[in-house]
Amino acid sequence: MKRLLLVLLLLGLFLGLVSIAAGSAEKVLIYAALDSPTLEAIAKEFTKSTGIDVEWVLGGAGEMAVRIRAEKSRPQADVFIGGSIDVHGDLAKDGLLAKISPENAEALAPQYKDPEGRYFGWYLGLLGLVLNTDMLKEEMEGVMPPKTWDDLLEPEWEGKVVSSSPATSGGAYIFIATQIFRFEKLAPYFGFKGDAIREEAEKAAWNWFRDFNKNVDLYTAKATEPITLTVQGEYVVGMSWAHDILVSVEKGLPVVLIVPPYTGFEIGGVSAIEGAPHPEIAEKFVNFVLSEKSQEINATVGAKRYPTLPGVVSPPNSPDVKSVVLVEYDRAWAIENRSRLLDKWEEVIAK
Amino acid sequence: MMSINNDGMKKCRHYLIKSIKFNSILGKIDLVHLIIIILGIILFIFVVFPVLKVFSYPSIEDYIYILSKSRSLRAIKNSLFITLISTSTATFIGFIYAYTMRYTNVPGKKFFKFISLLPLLSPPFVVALAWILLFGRRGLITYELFKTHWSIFGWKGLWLVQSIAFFPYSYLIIDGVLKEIDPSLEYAAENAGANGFYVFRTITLPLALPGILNAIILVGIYVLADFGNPIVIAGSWPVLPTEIFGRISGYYDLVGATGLAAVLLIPTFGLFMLNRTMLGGKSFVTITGKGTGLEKPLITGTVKWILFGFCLFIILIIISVYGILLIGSFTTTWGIDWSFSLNHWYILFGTKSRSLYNSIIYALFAGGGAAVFSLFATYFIYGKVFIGKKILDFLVILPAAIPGIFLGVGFLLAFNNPPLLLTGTSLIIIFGLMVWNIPLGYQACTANFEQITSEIEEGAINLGANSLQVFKDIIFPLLKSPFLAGFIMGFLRSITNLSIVIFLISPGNNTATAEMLSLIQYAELGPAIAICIALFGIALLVIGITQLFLGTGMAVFTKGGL
Repeated sequence: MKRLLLVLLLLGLFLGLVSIAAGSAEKVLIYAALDSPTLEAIAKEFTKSTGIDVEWVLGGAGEMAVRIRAEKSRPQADVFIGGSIDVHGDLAKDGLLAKISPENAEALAPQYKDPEGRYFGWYLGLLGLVLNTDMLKEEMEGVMPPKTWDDLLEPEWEGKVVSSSPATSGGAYIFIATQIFRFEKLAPYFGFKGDAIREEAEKAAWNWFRDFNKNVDLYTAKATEPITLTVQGEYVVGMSWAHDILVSVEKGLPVVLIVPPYTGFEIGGVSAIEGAPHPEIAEKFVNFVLSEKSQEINATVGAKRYPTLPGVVSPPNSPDVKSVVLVEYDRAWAIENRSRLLDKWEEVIAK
Repeated sequence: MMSINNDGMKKCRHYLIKSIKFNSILGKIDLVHLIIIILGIILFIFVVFPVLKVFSYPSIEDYIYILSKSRSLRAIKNSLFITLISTSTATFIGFIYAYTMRYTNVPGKKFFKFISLLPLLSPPFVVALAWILLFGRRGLITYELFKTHWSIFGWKGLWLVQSIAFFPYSYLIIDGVLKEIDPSLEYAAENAGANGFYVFRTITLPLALPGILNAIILVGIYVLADFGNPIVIAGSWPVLPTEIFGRISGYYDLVGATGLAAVLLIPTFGLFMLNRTMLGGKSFVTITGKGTGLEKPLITGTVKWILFGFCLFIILIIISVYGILLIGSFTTTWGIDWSFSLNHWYILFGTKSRSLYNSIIYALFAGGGAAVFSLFATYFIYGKVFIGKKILDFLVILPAAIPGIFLGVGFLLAFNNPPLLLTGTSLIIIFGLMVWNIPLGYQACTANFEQITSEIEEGAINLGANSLQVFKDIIFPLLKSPFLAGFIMGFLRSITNLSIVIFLISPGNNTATAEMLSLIQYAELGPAIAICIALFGIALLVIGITQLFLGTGMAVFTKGGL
């Protein structure tokens, strides 16, 4: 009996060694901040067309960025995919991303790529609201679904709203910046000019967040958690990414997607890591992500995001990107002021 | 096969001893000291080096900056507060539980003991989600059953969840102490006319006190380092481990994260030192004198049923939490559509099976490595006298005070440069988990080692055996049971670990727990629950096998120490 146990143990250890030793074929190593169905589909297509295996670690954009930073002296991955280009830009600034020139990037509009070729925007994701229609009927009879961001400030929404915390989620930070840029549109009408516009817009945005905070019951750690909690009926409405909300809508769950006017957006980035173990394959993979084929996968599989390449299909069931009113998102300013705004948020909310 | 191995071993040893004899530099160092030096080097590389790496990563200015943040200060305050209250309740529940199991003859004791194991085996995160589904604003229990709008989010919910999650540790520790209390004392008091509560207050409780204090300290360390529960339940009520994670995921700030990790080590290390100085570092305080064979004086009447009711209430909560997970892995959409579906399991075995397999292999190596190391450390560090023994003994046990998230960051920073290039390999994960589990095996082995009289050892040496022979023929057989306990406990803790592996996984070297986290991050709850149940199944299977072959399945937890 005991000998059998020992044999089993040795067998296990042997298999382990084999698995560690195996796998020296050509491959590309990826740090991904992406939903796994989309990544799996893109990886499969890449392997099919090039014969190169794809291996990845999946996590939040911030975690992946920190890994790349910590591994600076000996990078462990070839490609960083997903997450806003803010995060990629932050890494590029410190020389952690390689300068490459994938040919498919030529077709991209200038706002979707770094002029120095260190990162590329391959999708557009919008911020939106997820509304549980069953709960609205049950808990808030007679109340209309919110159409604008300001509707969420109405007193009847108190305790019914869930959002995410910018201290842990990149999407929630974009939401803060979005409100500032939204008020910036209005500031000139109140007679503000020049630098005062942004200053006043920021003040107005913080006042807006003070009111918003009264109705928010919970700020989750991750950007997608509000969707899960709204789907389960814990809350009636939640703030999150439109493409992630659509996954739940398409499953037939009792939720709808609302994209309020003057919404913020992220440009999803892809980049090759400086000093990567397989630099040529890394460039090949980035090029593939920017191809029409992969852009189509992005728009039709998993969490369906808007492609950045002109002429590619739009994601089905999403509002037409031309009909959505976006804020004028000043990405450079948002990146530069990140730390300050996060501290300010902390002060305003302190919940 | 065995005999070939033995022959091979003998030859190796022969050559090893020979080469040592002929080496002029090492000529004066005998085998024992060589092994001690090797153990010392391993400890310095894998314990001291990563710890120093974390402490030295931020500059003084960085420390000042991060500690001047109001959010950091709030996290520190909250951490201390929740540790105080969760540890108190967890210890209280653990004591009542242990007392009921030892001093009453309530029905279904085996079942009670089994259920109390479940929180010890649970992978993080997903279990916290089950709590929301049951006790949230629209929870199946809080709303559907009792029609309240109580919300689990925030510190109150965290308090509840941690109390249940960590009470089994205090139960096991206190139970170990209650077991050793000589019942004849209690009988004597009763015969002298003391009533039941008086006996409890003047005899049982004071004698159990060392165990209770020990439980408080160890549970305190676990609560301080807890990350999986607060990240899901606490919302924007920050505690240190979630704030460390927040510095990384929200601020992309590794410097700030390591600064806070260093801060977190202060209270855990303080508790650890308290445990060592006050209680001699033992998980179980054994009161001298073997059991008299007397049964414990049993509590009867109303008190017994009140105790029974209390324990029943606790296990009903546990059963509902784990039951809802089990059901969740077989339903279409957890919490919404309860129709039967195997979809999540198809996904698990289709695309996630590699991670599950990796997890098993890593845990086997880490558990095995930790057990082997503890065995060597017991004989060559604990059992020998040499200069610097105290330091090495301290280092073996130190990882018990290091929060997983700290160890993970430490390994990431320490082993990404030559000559110790380990990042990107599965070895770094195995070593990280191994170091984390060494204190358990070491505590279990040293507790038993004390019982081996040195006469046996001396006798063998007088008869001509060398140290290695003594180790193999005497020490190992006598320590086999704590060795296995250490191995299995290490395996179970490794396979459910997330806080360490999250920083060490690499493309192709993913683990099931990390996969679970990324699924949750993208709102794919179903497959995440299936992974959780699969990990649970493996853990229970391992305990079952231990029970079958060695007859000591559950005893692993008490033997393995904590």
